[in-house]
Amino acid sequence: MLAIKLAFKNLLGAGLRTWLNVTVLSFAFVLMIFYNGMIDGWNRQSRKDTQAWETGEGQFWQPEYDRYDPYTIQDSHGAMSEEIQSEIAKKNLVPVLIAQATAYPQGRMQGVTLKGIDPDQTILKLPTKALSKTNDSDYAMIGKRMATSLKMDVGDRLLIRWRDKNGTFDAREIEIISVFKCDVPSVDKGQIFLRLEVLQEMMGMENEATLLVAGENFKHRDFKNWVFRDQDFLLADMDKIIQAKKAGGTIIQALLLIIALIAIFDTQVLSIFRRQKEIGTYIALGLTRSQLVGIFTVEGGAHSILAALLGAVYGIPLFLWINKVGISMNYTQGMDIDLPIGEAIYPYYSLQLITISIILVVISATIVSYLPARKISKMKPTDALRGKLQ
Amino acid sequence: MKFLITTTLLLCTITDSFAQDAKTILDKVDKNMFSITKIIESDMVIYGRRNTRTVTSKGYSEGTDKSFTEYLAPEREKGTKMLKLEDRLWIYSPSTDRTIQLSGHMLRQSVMGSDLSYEDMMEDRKLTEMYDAKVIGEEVIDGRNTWILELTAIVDDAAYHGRKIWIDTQRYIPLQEELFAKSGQLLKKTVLTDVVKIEGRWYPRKVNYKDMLKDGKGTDFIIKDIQFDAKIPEYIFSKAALKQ
Amino acid sequence: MEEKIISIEKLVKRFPVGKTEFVALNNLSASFVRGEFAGLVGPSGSGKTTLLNIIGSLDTPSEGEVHVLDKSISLLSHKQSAKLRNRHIGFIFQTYNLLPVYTVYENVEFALLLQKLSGPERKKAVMDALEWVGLTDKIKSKPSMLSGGECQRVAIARSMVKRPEIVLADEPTANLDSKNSHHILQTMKKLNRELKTTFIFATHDEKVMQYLDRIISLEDGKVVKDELIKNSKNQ
Repeated sequence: MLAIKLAFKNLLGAGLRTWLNVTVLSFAFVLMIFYNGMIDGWNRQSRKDTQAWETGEGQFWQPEYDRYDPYTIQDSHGAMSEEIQSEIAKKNLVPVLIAQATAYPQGRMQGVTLKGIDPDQTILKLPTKALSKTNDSDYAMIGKRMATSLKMDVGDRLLIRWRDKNGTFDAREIEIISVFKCDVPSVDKGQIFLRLEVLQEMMGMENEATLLVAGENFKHRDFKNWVFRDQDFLLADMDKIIQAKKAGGTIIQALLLIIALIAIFDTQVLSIFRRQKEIGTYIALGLTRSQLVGIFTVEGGAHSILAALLGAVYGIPLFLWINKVGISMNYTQGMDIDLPIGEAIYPYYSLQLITISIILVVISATIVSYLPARKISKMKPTDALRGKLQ
Repeated sequence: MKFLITTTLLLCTITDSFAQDAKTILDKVDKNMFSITKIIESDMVIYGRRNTRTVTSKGYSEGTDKSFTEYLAPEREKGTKMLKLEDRLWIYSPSTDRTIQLSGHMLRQSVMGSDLSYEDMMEDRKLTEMYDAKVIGEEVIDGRNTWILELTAIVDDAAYHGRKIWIDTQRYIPLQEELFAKSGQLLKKTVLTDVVKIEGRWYPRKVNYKDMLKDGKGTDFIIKDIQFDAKIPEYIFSKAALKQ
Repeated sequence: MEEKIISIEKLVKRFPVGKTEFVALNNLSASFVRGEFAGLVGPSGSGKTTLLNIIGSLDTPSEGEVHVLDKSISLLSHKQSAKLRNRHIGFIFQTYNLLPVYTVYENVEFALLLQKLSGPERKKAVMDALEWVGLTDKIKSKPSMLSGGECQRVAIARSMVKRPEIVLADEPTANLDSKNSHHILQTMKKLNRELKTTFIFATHDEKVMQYLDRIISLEDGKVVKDELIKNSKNQ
């Protein structure tokens, strides 16, 4: 208690130098929390969007299906049992049939994935209603990214070629009836949405699907010949990418933290050298050397407490403001990013994040303060009093 | 090798009794073009959007079951070898010193970026087993009179639901072929030209193969040298030959 | 009846100087009783400060025995010697050695913070000490705002606030003018009488000597003269 009181007294007494150190450290602190908060916010948003647009409350897959291996699609289709049909009728499941095809926009050749989905589904946020406007089988819906890569818009016609379940080539011209906007690239890129029964007919796969997306009201149960994939499985790769992004940011944070810590270390070394007489006086007043090491360590470490406070002073209003307006991600719109990314990211600061950041900064500041302070325990009090040490 | 397969694709014998005319015609074609063995040195010219690539290869074949191809140029492909025995296909790549067997989806990939897939080369079922054929008319192509044969699939798993073949009425060689989707959409077209007499047979020296849905000039196969019924040692058609 | 609180026997203190040694105290013996107002005098290098430091357990003897309040200085651990200084010994330095970031009040209070005193007790002790030195009106000032004399009075208050048995003062007047010197000496003399605190000075200031009732003259680390004095100012 005494040490803490003394530490703050001394720190505040040192004035400008203290505040310079504290300011740099508070930058490291705020940046650390901000960056991680941004990534966490992005992650939460991505998970939420991906769930809403693509994964639902988990999916049942055909056993062979592997979303990262397009070659498995050919064999990944299976009939839907009556049990499944009744869940679909209750809107607890939505079946999706997936097929591969080649599109020929403007005479180019481009591999695409065809997805058949029920236009009246309500489980996914996909605006499939657009497909129910007509009974004509030649209508399709695509996302904005796909529209850009195909250089197509609503009303344009596109020739696609595919092979049915027997491998026989077939080709057809489809009309783009709707282009939807979506933050989740994986439901947009390279994909063309058709009505489920249209794709089933095209492929010769009546009453078949590749996967079933579960809705909120679905009570979990198993279906024969279908494998359940839960949220964690479906979002695992996204989590990994986001973690990697987090790791990338640590370099800048670490650099800033290291600069701040070097400044503290330097201040400590200098302060112990310049305050020998004071140290001698403390000893004369009856402080033990270990108490002194403690005082100086706490004093250096207390930079981090001040930094946290200072950081809070400008960080909290800044964070609140950012959370109100969001971080504009408009500049990423034209970019090829494989993660769901909204127009704006709203950072999310968890208690855990803030606690960990504080602990990290306090501990590291304390360590760099302790290292030079150890020198005190080797000082001869008489020399210290005379200011004779080098 | 592509040249071999593409041409042999067109030369399968037809035994369908309902299409006597068509069968007779195709029989004659077969007789004209068939040989036990062939050794062909050819260029494959791939017309891309920006550039044109030429791949040179030397192929050995025996009937429709066995063939062996070695690529000679360009440098990047040099030493790559391919072996087909009935319905199996192996590729040896010198850069990795590995032999892999292509199967399933890999067969749908394009051969060296051309308009032709491995699968196109693998199809060796007799056309008559898969299609109902009939003569639907005559046409003059490049000053030659031809019959037009129309083939319609009678099995489920034919890659192309329909085909049209134009055959020279005097020389009994195919000059043109079109492949159709189930919907009737024209998918691919083959044009055979530069017909010359080699060792007493009429033979097209140039074949153009084109994906009709895509822009571009397609892929040309040009024969530089061909030998019929030459002796080909048996070891050529073995996996051991791939690594040599 | 006179209680011996410091006894020094055959004290030798050597310091390494390069490859050789410098003998600061050479076989020195002396003792002090409670309530003395004594001074160590002599030229620079005669060993005055070294002797004070050893008595204050800031340094240890090379040879010989020094007992302070029945404790052998050579045998004390760091912790024990810190406790001795904190409870029983006050220091006054030539350069005052006040803690610059603390107020007058806090500088005086500091010595008590290590002792288990209640808040009001501590406050009373601090105010008493400041009253002795006549600085109750400056408790909120920082040392940088005080004159040299005021600073030294704060230092005296700091050394006296815990009511130590012994106060060790190393050239306390060296940086002060004559008026201030007399003022603080009078203050110390008064505390010496009222609280029976033992004062030991290291000095070569004539003004200080006027107040001393015992002068121990040192030369080359040896006591050359030890005399009791009767004069006008030590009454």
